Amino acid sequence: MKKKYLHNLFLLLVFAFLYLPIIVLVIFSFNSSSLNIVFEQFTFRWYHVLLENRSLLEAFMNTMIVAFTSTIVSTIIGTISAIGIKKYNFIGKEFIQSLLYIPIVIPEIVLGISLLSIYTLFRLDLSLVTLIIAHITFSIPFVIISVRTILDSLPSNLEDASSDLGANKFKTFWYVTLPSIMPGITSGALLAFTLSLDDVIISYFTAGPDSNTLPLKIYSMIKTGITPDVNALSALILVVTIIILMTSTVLQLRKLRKETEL
Amino acid sequence: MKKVIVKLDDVKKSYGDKVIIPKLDLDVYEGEFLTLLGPSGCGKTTTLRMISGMENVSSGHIYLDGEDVTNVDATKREVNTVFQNYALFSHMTIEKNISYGLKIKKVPNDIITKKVKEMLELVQLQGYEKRKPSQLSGGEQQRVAIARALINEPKVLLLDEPLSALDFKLKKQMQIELKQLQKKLGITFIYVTHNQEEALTMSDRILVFRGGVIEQVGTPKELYLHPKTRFVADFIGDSNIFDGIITKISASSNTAEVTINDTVKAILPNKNYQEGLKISLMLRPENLKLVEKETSKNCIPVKIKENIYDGATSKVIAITNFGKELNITLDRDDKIYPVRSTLFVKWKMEDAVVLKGKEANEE
Repeated sequence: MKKKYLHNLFLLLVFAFLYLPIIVLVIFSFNSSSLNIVFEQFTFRWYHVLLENRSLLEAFMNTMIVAFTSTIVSTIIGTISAIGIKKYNFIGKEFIQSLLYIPIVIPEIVLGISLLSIYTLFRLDLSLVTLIIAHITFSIPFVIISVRTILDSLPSNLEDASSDLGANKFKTFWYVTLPSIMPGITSGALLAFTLSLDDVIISYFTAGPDSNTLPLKIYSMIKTGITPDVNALSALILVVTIIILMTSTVLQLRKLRKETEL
Repeated sequence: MKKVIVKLDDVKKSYGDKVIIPKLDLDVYEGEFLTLLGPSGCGKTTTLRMISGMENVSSGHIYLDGEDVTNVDATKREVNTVFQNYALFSHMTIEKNISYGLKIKKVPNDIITKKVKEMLELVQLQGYEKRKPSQLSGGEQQRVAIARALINEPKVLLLDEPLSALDFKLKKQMQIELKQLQKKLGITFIYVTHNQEEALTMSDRILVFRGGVIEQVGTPKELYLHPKTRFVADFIGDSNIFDGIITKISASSNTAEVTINDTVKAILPNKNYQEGLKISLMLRPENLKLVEKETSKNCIPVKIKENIYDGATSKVIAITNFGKELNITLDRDDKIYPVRSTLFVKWKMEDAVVLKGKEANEE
């Protein structure tokens, strides 16, 4: 009996540690006081303020454009590269494979500065385009590694089997290889998308004056003190994240149930 | 005369400087179960891949049903392969896996549905249409792989070590199923394995490969009873091999005397041997008999090292006075002697198989 009590207490502490800051943030987004110190009265005011904040909405749009474009481009480049590295032997293959990890392990600030200096070197004005290129750069290795992992786990004679059954190279890729590595491509793309969504450091160096993203905007807002509309924005992002997470979980569960039923 | 369905004519295969198959001529007859047997890296899988078209020949020609297919792409050859580890498409259902070949060939849907049903019946997997390969056991996946190949009605079915991933019991069962399937369909099977027991159980003919060269071709019985080389004798079944020299020819009884290890004299039927010829004598474990009293010929003193009982048979490991270990299989009612007993081992003259001289076979 006592043991169970301790067990529950421990669980409660862990959850409190994990979720208390988030709960506080959500609660204060409904606070009528503009100071994040005491809770005065319940209000939706900050959500209205948020919706009327044009620059914030613009930042949101930019974030989405950057996230989607960089995800699509980096997923395509990353997938093709992963297949190429897996399939063909070429001089310097080992070297390229180890180079892949560099953008992942070096500090973001270094990558940000180096991108900035290369843009300056080529006299590229900072804009949404330079921001997207930067995001593609740091996303590609994640996609390659994610696709490579799946490729390595596939039986080596899968493509042989397809051509043995009469499919040419294109059909084999379309009907066999691509669907087989799809889980790797999706998880790589998701990774790229989330990395792009919340990137601050690299974006800080590579975004132009007109290409503010949401994380950059929030970062600049809190410099002047956290206002409740930032809380409201964070609460909204939280809701969206939870919805996406739940949908994917439900879909996965449904798929799993369907497979076990048969 | 049986019809030749696959013909390899002076086929050579090399990767750069490395020669895998120096020269290979082979006729495969229609409706036979042919096994390519050999240790790993002997070129048997390469041969299979050249027949399927997944591997090009370096020189020579391959004929399929009389037609030169040497330069025909794998996708267009009327042969299909069952791969090691099955190579099923894990993202497709069983139905989709089996129908893949026909879908690619744009066969009308109603025919596909009908043939998939037939195939599932053939491999006894009715009701598995909508399952995924991961939900099937190893043996079931194996059957899907067979159905996926057979639905295309290949002229020859190629099987690349298809049973190697299965456990012992299932392997035995699948051996019988495969053999029955082959008899029922009458399709030529070319089967690659390194497992001599599998080869003996299923094949009409076995082709023993060694270093890219055919060592011997024959029925399982021929290979077991009359191996031509030391390699074949060693590879197929258990064997006891003695090296010796022909020391005397007796014209009157038409026999030859072999001296083993300078001391033991053995008698053989003479087949135009010359005195001084070096030969190897092979005796199967079941042809050796343990006796208490020395006989005048074909007899060696031994000491029992170990008695092994495996359920079906009793085996004895004995050591000769010149230090050679012998495998002996006992008959059901043979006496079992305690370890370290000193006895004699004897054999019938006609059971001894003469292999090509030792020098010729040692590398």
